[in-house]
Amino acid sequence: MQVKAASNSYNITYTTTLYPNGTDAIVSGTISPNSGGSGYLNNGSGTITGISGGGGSITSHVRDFYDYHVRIPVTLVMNKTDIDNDLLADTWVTYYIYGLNLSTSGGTVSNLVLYDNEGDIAYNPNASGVDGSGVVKYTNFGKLNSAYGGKVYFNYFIEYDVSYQKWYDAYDATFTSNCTLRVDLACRKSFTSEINVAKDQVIDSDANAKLNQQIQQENNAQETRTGILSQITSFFGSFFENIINSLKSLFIPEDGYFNNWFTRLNTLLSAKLGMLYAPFDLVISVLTALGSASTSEAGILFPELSWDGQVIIPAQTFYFSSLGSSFNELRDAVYFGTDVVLLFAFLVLLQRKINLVMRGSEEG
Amino acid sequence: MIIKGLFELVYTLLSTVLAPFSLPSFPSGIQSILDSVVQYMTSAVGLLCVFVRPTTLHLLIPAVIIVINMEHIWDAIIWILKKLPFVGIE
Repeated sequence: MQVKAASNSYNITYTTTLYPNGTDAIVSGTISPNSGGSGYLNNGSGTITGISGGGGSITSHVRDFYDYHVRIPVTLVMNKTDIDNDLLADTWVTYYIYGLNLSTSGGTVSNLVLYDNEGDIAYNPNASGVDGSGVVKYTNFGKLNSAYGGKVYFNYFIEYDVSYQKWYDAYDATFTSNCTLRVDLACRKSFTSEINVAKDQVIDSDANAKLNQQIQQENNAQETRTGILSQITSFFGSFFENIINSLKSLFIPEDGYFNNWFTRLNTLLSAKLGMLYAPFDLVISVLTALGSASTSEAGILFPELSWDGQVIIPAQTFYFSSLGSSFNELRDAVYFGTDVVLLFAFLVLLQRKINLVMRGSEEG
Repeated sequence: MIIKGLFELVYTLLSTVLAPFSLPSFPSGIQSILDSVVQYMTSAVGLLCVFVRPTTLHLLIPAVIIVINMEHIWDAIIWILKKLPFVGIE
């Protein structure tokens, strides 16, 4: 399941009102410093009435400064008239500001700039100077906020440069500007819908539940089939394993059985046959000694010398390992030679016996 | 199971047959001499280990016993298999 975004566009008609509204604004205030300085005249207010084809005038009283700008704060409030309530909250709108016509009297302005509410330059129709007209398009976007009752507030500044102007009034020049604005709005709201990618179609909640149920049933069936196959495989595996184990147990007794059997037989025959069994007992003793021989016991036993129950020389054993590493190296070399000889002899014996069993004759 | 049963059968037969018998052992003097002989022979194994690797002895002695008696072992196996009808050996 995957969520895929989709979007629709809505065109919304707004009536817009510029504030302050209805009254000509006179930009006035105290200029500081009085001469030779620079600064902004921020405390003025302007009146721009109407959106399309309307106009307003802003009168500024400025002096002759070498770097002076007139900055007019304007608040734009856009009221929605045709918008669904569900689009009201958290809906991004795109607004366009068309045209910023400025006509001045009393001097020449330049560097007409429209700043947005973040202070960034939003519109600069002509960096080298604007005196009068110009049609531009400024595009920005904002967010509808239900806290403002569906209104979009937009604060911006109109600013222009009036430096080095020769005013007719050396101390209290009047500068009047007329602006025309037109604002259009478009609204775009994004929404999401669930799309079942696996089935490549959009499904509603009921269909989604049915699909989940089908998937669950399919998974259960798959698990059942897997369980049955596992049981069948396990059954046949254990079946053949049991057959093999049965055949093995048919011929091969448990571990240690032969040792136990030979021990019991040796005891029985030794007890019943007495002296007749002595030669066999001798062979068994020698074989047992051979089976328990070890390298460390390589040596010669000197039996005790006694007379009439009196031990004259006790039994002693000389171990060759006491001769040191030189003898051990020699012994290893002898071991290798005897191993080769005994192995060869065993293979010859094995070949003869195989020939005897398979062909009835020891000769190949 | 078959091998084990046969071995147990042999043991039972021997113990049954030998039940009435109880032959005497050698007199103590002769038995003492025999014990000394056995002691010398088992001591000779230590001398043999000077020339033959004990590990080789441990492996070869049972292998040689089996190979020497291979025809008898083979006959015994075939005899057993012939007794099994489902094997099909005539």
